Amino acid sequence: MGLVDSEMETLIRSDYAEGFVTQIESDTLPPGLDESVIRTISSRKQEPEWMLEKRLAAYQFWLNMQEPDWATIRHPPIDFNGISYYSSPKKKPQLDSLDEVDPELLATYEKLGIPLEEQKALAGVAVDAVFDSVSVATTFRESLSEAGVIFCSMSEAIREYPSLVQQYMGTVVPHKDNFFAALNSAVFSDGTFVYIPRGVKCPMELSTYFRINEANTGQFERTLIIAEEGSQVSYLEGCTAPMRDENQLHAAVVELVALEDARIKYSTVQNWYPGDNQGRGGIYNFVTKRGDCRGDRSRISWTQVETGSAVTWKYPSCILRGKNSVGEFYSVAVTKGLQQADTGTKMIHIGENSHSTIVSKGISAMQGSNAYRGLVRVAAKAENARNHTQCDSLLIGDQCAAHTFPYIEVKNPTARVEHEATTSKVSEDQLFYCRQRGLTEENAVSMIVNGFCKEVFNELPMEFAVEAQKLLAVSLEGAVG
Amino acid sequence: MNACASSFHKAATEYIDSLSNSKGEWLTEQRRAATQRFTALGFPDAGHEAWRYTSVEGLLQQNFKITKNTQVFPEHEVIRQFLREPVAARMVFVDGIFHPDLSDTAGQTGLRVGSLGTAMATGDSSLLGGVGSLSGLGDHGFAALNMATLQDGVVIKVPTGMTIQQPIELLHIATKGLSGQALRTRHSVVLEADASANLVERYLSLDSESNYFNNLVCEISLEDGASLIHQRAQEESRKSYHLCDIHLDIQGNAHYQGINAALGGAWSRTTVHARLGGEGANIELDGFYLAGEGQLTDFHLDVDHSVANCESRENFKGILYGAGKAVFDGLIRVREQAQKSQAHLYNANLMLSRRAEIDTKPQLVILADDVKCSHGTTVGQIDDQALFYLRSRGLDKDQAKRLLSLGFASEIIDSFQCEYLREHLREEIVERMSFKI
Repeated sequence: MGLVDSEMETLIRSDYAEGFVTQIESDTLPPGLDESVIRTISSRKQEPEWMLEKRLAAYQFWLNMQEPDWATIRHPPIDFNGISYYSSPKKKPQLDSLDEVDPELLATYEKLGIPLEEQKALAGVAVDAVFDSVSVATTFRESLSEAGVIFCSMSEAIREYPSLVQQYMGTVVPHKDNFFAALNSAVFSDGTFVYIPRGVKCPMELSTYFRINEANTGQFERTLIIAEEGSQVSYLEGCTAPMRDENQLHAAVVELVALEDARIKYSTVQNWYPGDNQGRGGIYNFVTKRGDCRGDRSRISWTQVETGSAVTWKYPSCILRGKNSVGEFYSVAVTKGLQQADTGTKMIHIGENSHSTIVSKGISAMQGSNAYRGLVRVAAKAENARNHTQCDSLLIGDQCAAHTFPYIEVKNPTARVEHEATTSKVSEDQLFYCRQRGLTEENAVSMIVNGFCKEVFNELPMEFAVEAQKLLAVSLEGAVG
Repeated sequence: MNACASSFHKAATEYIDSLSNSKGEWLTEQRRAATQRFTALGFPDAGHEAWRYTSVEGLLQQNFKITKNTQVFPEHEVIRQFLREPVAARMVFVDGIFHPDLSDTAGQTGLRVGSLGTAMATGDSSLLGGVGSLSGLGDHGFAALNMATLQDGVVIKVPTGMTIQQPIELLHIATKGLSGQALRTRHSVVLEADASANLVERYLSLDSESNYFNNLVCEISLEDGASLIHQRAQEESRKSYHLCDIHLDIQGNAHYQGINAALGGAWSRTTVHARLGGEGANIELDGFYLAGEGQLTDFHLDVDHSVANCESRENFKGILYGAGKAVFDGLIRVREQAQKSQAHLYNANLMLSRRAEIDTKPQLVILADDVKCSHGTTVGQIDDQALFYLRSRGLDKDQAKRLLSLGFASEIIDSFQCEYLREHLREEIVERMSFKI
């Protein structure tokens, strides 16, 4: 096994391919946080009064909150006054076509392998590119608006669809929810707003590419997706960030609302800078994601592939309020080097016959630490609720760590809840079998690891599945014998 | 420190002061240190992760008294019925105090079985050495109080290589007169290398309305190659509070098999801290809990693989009916150096009523890579098809449910080695669920 281990190491040590910084002039506030910063953010974004009030209320609440310490992650204390809370590429005149977009920006996307033009031509994917904190280009607007779908930046939505935003924002993740959600509610910079009208099946996969570009800029995205009765949408979120020495904070909030018979599929591939081999730099990713299955027979599905960030703290959850509603969570989390991930989900069963599935695959390599933390709660009124949870951890290297902390709370006797978890390494038997069939050690382990994650990758939209497999291969390259 | 904690602190201090400073009270210093520890810890509340589902408020509201109980219970006849089975040694505690007339400590030559009270009175350091060696002064307020004010208990030492075939029985009997009191009992068991024994612990109450608090700590050391079967049956009165911390130290190639049944008590909590400290150590834990109207039953397991090549297996099953509530927390910890560990935990819960509640939390904390670990939890109901099958055979619905529930429990109950205990527990389970479920 020694050979495999050492080769695995070399594979794992592969460098972060997305590490580059785009030189674009940006409009950045000096570090620090107080009421005036929030007023500035709000006024820069030309927000209405009610939005500012919401932000200030969240800020006041945040001031009295404690940073949570229950997760199995360790990091130096975050200096919330050492962060700049607003950064946007310098204001350009209104853009009508891609030609008007800063060529440097476009080049950045090209390096990431998603040129907008290509995206436009291929696959029918509309990309709302969020570069740092401001959306600079939105494509496919027209074909979407024909279908009645609203797909725009949050700041635009606040200006143009205030009634929708007021009706839904903060109803799934209220600012009192947790420390980072409160911070986000106070200072969120921008994000994505999606509204799918009644009965509409969104004609294409919606996708946002996030980039954290400006050093020292916390990025506070706010995403809100509303699926009206009988509508369907699939949303893709992918992230890469350039190499930087100082830790960057990312505290996003994502809210999903699914009304009767609506379906939302939210997929994430997260490949932010994890820090170097000494654990310097890297993104701190504290995200609150929650979906609310408000209507009967509604369905929300979270799929995530987490390979980046120095620290990941993320629990995409579903509140299954509607009768016969369905919540799903599929996750692959890879930690290597000194990366730490504490991730999982919450499934809150309130409606009758609500079902949920949780499949979580954790891969820990080198000194990586990976924790699954999940809650399945069946309320007293949730007749015939059903949950199945499967958590598997794969260990590569003798210094890594894998933890599993599921919480199961059941108050209804008709509930059926199952939880299974396993932790093991790639077995020598498996390797031996593949090797004697003529596979190299590297291919064998790669195949086994891919097989380990297959259940989750199958849930990703096709374009993402390819990217995710590539990411996994790159992440574990060479490590895998 | 809140009012409640300070009143306990005062009671503990008074208790320690009341003890005669004869040679036997060698523990006085430890007692004082434990009082300080208690002051530092206070009582656990929902803010403590290990206590988030198990509230101690109801227990504290009872204002149980810490007293120096020396009265010997005269009613031997009632108790004699429990003394029929053949044993290697038997220690009977009535209201927390060792009762020599009812006990049988002759045992095998070389086997040392005695009461902690006597050992303290004579200052027998060879027997007392184990007290506090695994538990320390206590990791929560109640354990610290136990150390500060401990009353009596059992000290057992099985010498190297000795095999005890018949069970050593510890019988704890609560009488009506116990109401309002807090018992502080502590057991210390040492099995020297290659020794083997079979320990039976029973908790019974002569009066179902008796309202008391049994605060126990049990320390068990298994030296290399030792083997212990530990059978515990908790049938306290339905108004009582039962708290037991079991600390296990299992050395190389030693084997511990624990079988637990928790049926009684308004509030009962059992914590097992097991440290697998030598290669080849092996632990098997089985448990069954039954929680009905107004009962809370809690099992906390913490199995610590601290060296390589150890195995652990836990299997806990529970039935909840009425407004019963159960809490289960099963932690498996595998340290960096504990390669080749195998650890498996399983928890299954059967919910029979609308008002029942289960909070279960299996946990894996793995810091080594070459391990095989798993856990599984289920919460479910009686299978409709099985029910239908039995009803088609002429059983009414309640009979069928009881039969299936008993079948569910049997997997654990059957692991009890003593036949009389198996029989008794089965009857007891059926009787407790005899009303309409």
